[in-house]
Amino acid sequence: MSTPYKTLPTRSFWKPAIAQRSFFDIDELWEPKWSLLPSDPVVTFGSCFAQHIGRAMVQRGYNWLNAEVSPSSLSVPNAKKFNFGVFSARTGNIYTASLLLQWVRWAVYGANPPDEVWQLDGRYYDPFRPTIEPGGFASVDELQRSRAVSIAAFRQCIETAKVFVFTVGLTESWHNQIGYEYPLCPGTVAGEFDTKAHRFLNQDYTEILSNLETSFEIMKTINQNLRFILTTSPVPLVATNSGQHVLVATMGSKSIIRAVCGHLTLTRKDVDYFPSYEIINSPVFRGAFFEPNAREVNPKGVAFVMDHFFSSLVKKYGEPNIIKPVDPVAMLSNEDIVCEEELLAAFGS
Amino acid sequence: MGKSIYVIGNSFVGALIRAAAENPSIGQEITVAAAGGVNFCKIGLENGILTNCRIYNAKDPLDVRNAKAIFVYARLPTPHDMATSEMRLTAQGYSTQVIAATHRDMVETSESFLLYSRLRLWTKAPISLLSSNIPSNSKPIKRNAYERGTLLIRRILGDNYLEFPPELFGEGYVPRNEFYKNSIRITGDSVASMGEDEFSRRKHDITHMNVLGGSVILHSIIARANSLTFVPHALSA
Repeated sequence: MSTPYKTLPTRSFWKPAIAQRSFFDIDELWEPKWSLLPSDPVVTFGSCFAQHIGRAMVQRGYNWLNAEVSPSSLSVPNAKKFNFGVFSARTGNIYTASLLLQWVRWAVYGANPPDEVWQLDGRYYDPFRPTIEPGGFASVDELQRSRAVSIAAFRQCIETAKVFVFTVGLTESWHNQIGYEYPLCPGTVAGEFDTKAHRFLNQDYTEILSNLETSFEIMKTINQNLRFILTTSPVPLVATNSGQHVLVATMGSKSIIRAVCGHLTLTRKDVDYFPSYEIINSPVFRGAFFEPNAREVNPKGVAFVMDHFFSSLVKKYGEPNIIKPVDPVAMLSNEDIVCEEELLAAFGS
Repeated sequence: MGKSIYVIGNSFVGALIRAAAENPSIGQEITVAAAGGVNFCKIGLENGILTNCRIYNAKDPLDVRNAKAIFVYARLPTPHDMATSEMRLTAQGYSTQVIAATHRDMVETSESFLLYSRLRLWTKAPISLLSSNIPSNSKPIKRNAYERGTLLIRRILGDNYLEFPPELFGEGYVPRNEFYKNSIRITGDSVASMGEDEFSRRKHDITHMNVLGGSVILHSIIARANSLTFVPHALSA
């Protein structure tokens, strides 16, 4: 009797692919849609976990594009302190698809960000990059000039990259009255929360799908060959405003994001999905890749995920020819990962 | 006053040594320790005694705990460097905090500051740092830019910074050619090979001064040393 299952590869069956192996021997979790040459410019943005991808690319000699470099005389620790080399431009964390769309519109359409500025102790904070400058900016003018540089760098990333890696982290978001989205709830770092001026939105499948597709289409107006690798952040929510238990909210958010990524990967040739979320969160790995707080991904987990990323490419397309020198700013340890969302934890103690 | 003013420097001190030799009345007050070029960063401190450097005007090894005052005259950003950097980084959109951190890093990673940090472990004597010689082909800068550059260094080094005397400069804070013509420097990258022959006279060297320039620096150092309060003894090891 004929059946399609007869011709499927080993990786299609749980028993030989999972149950009969040590979890360190589990492989073929990702079959890349296209090759990635070490010379191909790659940019990384998104949630905290996206930082690992950029860093791993640098460590392995891939062409991770840093479009907003620190002054050459600035030391590596200070470059890190001021968030240079964290993402490909100094955008800070872009947690949601809608926040990505907001940056894309500013960068590609030249749309002006609102004039809103947060103040604290005589210093000025960028509502759209609230932790980018520790201690805030000296003036509104300085803040706006700095943001303009980051927007220009973000545009350069879109124009120059061959692959745009985006890690989607959250569905929950905060917006102002005219629709602009903040990466962090006002009042957490600076600014004041106003129940009339600020609204909470827990984005659903349709909104996230639309925002990602719109972002991609706008980006392709200035770089029609741009491709996208999506990942779902494996890092649970620090806090939820949904009213649900944070564990339930986490699983709900990640499931929605994962479903959107899956749809885009199935329906678009220019979108691929890398399963970092699955590798870290699958019960097969028994939580081994999390720190004791069951939230932060430990260095072994990061290494395991990134090893899979590169070994999958090698398996399908062969060993790359690495020639690029290493950027020290991007060689920082896992402890240096910048996650603004962590600030919310202070409100739960 | 005995030979208790120590000048530790790189090839810049060649002019100073020659000037001290030609001005015995004040030259005898200072002792110079030098290592040229890349060897400067190899200068060591073993139980407070300077190693891996050539000592001029003294026979015994130099114990920094015996110094009345110490001057470090090697690579350190100049006011010109700081002013130029600030203008460039501001134009590129960097924030004042980033620029300030960059300038602090420029100073604190300089070979002079690194030696200063090590000296501080061994002595409470006042330590003054001079900027690198300003190249004689520098572009003119405005007075407020020079003062701003000086202020930026002072913010980091405070009173430890010893500015170049104003008479070194012509218009636009460009060093006067008369101080650089027939310049003198220490040559040779081996401490062991250094001797009197290491002074090479060149027709023109944009980064090294001549005896006249060395004399101006020497007087500036002596004046600063005389204005300082002597701290009798040093930290123990």
